[in-house]
Amino acid sequence: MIIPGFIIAWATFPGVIVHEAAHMLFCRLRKVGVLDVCFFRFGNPAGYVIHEIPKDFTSNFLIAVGPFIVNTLLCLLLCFPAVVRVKTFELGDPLSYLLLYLGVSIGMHAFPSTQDAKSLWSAASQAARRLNPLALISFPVVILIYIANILSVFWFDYLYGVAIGYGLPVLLLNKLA
Amino acid sequence: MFPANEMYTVLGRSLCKPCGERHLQAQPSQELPEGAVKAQQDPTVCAKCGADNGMLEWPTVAGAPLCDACRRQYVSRPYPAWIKLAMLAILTLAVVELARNWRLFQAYFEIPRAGKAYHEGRIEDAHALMAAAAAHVPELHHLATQERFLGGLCLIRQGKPAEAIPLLSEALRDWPEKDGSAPAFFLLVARIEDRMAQDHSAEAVPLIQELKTRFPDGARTADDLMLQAQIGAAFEAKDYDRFLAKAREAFQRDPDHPMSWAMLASALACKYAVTGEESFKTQATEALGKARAMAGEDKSIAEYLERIAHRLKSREIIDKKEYDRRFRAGAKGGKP
Repeated sequence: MIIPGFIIAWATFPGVIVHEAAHMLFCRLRKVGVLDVCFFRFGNPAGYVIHEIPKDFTSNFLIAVGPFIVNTLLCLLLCFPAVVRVKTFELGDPLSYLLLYLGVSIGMHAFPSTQDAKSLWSAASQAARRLNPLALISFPVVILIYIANILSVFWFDYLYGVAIGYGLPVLLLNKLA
Repeated sequence: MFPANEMYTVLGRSLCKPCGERHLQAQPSQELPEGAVKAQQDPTVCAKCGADNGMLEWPTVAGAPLCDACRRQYVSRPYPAWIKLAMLAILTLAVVELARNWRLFQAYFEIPRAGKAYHEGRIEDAHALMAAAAAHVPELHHLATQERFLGGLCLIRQGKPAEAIPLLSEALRDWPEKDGSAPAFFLLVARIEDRMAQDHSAEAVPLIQELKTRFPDGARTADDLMLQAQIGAAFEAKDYDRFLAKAREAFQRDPDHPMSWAMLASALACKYAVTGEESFKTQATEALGKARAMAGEDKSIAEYLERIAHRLKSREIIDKKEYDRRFRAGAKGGKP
């Protein structure tokens, strides 16, 4: 089933907010000026961060992949305590389901956008000429981001959110038990 | 002299605003290329608040010189309060969820450990773990059912089949599949052992046959129980030759178990008591010593061994009930 992207963005708005907040977090950490930010809006794109061009490639890379790190960790953090109640003991209640919704919504927006991939590719191309090793490994990362964005038509983003929020806690618990 | 911040680069020429406008009007009417008109910036003057840094240049953000205060507004742009509050709220919810589900995590780890202990034959450990899991998640009745089942098994192992029967009956009542289930099997075992402990070993025989029919996989247990019932019946009928023969059979079947040595010692002690033959006493004493060494701290066997020692010393054969009446107030159940 294909659902328009804006409806998915509305339904999973916490993920959009965290995605933009993550870009902004890495701008702050790397002392890159943020000129404008929109955490969520009913439009396309649903959120954005406009920042100055970073002076070094590491900042470029971290700002681009920041949402992948932050959204993934937050997804796991929110879902982990709820999964044992819902999945293992089937004692789910509103709080557990709310946390799972928040976690999966946030996990769904972990992948950087194609716009993020585009700017990363352009910065990586320049940095690669200076043989920056991070720039060299960025190329496959950018390709993966593009693939993930293409596959989002087939619910890849949702599957990723479920895998991190639901599958990973179960896997970790099974390993520990 | 004009301040640099009030100057413009117009088609490559550095001009003030009125001159720049005149210069543009003088151009033939056509679309201007991108970047044809640019405001000039004095790198020593803040582009936002106009703060002058004297001869020193301000650092830039997106090419614009900014004083430290204005620069901070961009490079350390604060998150809106609602974002901070929302983040705090969801993290608090996650912590609350973790705290209230802590007991579920504990049970999650206790249940498989209980299963492992059960399969390794550590029934007491399995029972303790399942009891803890059932206490942690009282909403899940099947955990309490399993705890009762394991509690019943512990009591059978402790030689208290009469006390095991109600626990196993309750476990069987709530067990999802009753026919052929483990509680049904052990409930029958408890009833058989209870009959034998009550010195009604003959009554145990049809129950053992039922066990064999209903649980073909438990044939080995049924055979062991049958042998025990025959030993018990022989003792109850004062047929000590048969008692000794069956005790020897049980010993050959499992010579590594202290109870096999104890039953052999018991039968030999009976033979000594009725015949007075020293060879029986010697063999009984030897078997008793072996059973004691193998039993170690096992209290249930220790009580049985104590009774055999009394038999050897007094040459008096009394059953457990009488022994308990004379020497141990309140004890229940036991071997011949």
